[in-house]
Amino acid sequence: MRSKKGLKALTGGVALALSSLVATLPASAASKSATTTVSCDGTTVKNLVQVNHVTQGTFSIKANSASQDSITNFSAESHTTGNSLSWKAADEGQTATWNSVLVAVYTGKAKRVGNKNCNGSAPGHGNYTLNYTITYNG
Amino acid sequence: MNRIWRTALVIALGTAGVAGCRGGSSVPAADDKIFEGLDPEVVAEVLAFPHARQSIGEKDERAVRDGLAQGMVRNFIVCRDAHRVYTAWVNTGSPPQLAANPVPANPVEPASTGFADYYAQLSTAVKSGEIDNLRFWLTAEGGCGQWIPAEPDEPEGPTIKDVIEGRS
Repeated sequence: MRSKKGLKALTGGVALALSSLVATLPASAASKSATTTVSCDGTTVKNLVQVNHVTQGTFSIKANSASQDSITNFSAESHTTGNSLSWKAADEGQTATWNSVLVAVYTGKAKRVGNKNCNGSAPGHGNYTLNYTITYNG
Repeated sequence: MNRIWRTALVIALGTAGVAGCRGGSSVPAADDKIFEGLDPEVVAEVLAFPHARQSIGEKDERAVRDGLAQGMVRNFIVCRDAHRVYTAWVNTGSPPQLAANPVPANPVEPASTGFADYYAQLSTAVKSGEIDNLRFWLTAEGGCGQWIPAEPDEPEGPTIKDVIEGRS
């Protein structure tokens, strides 16, 4: 039969091993997909979905599809601090990726690279349809 | 007034009315109650900073706009103080104490609670005893040093990240 001291040491060791395991477990990648419209004027910023990036690590936004032959500039911003990720462009099927991103609740942002008349003879630049996926540490 | 012009006027007034109901996309004034309890000089600096004005002005919902404006002011205060701690740490080999989290008299939620978590991350980086953790917090993607000017009177000057990485 184990002594109380031995049992205590064993329990402590198991707790330490478990805490080490938790500390070294990779964060689980989560993702959110959505479809939105983005202005073709090249300047108007469209807010995308909000995600909670809970551990430091890779953050990415993929342009799954974009109508009107559009390349999209992506970023993400914390509405708590104003801190944001640098703008990165992604063509249809491409992914904008940021490494070692700090923990925060981020709202994705998108704007067209350059302006284009997506509206034919109607007034204004018009919009294009963007389907995207944000991948983060959820 | 012919029918076409009358129709155009009705549409224009209707559009203006809708914009008014949405609250528009404006930046809060320096004397807004959301800034009570925060350093008025930093409030003035943030409200005059083009990047901040644009970002705040893009938000349609007033709660988001107010929370962001208040958070940006707190972020300028905290980020500059973190830079002060970092510089002293480099020069002396040990970090001085971090200033307290600046708390406004009228916190806007949920941004204010989020800011407490943000400040806790900074505090943890300083208490870690590893200067690289604080450097990373200041310079990483999503970090405040990427966009906040190192000096209050130089909005076009180097950012805190520029200074830390020797680009100033």
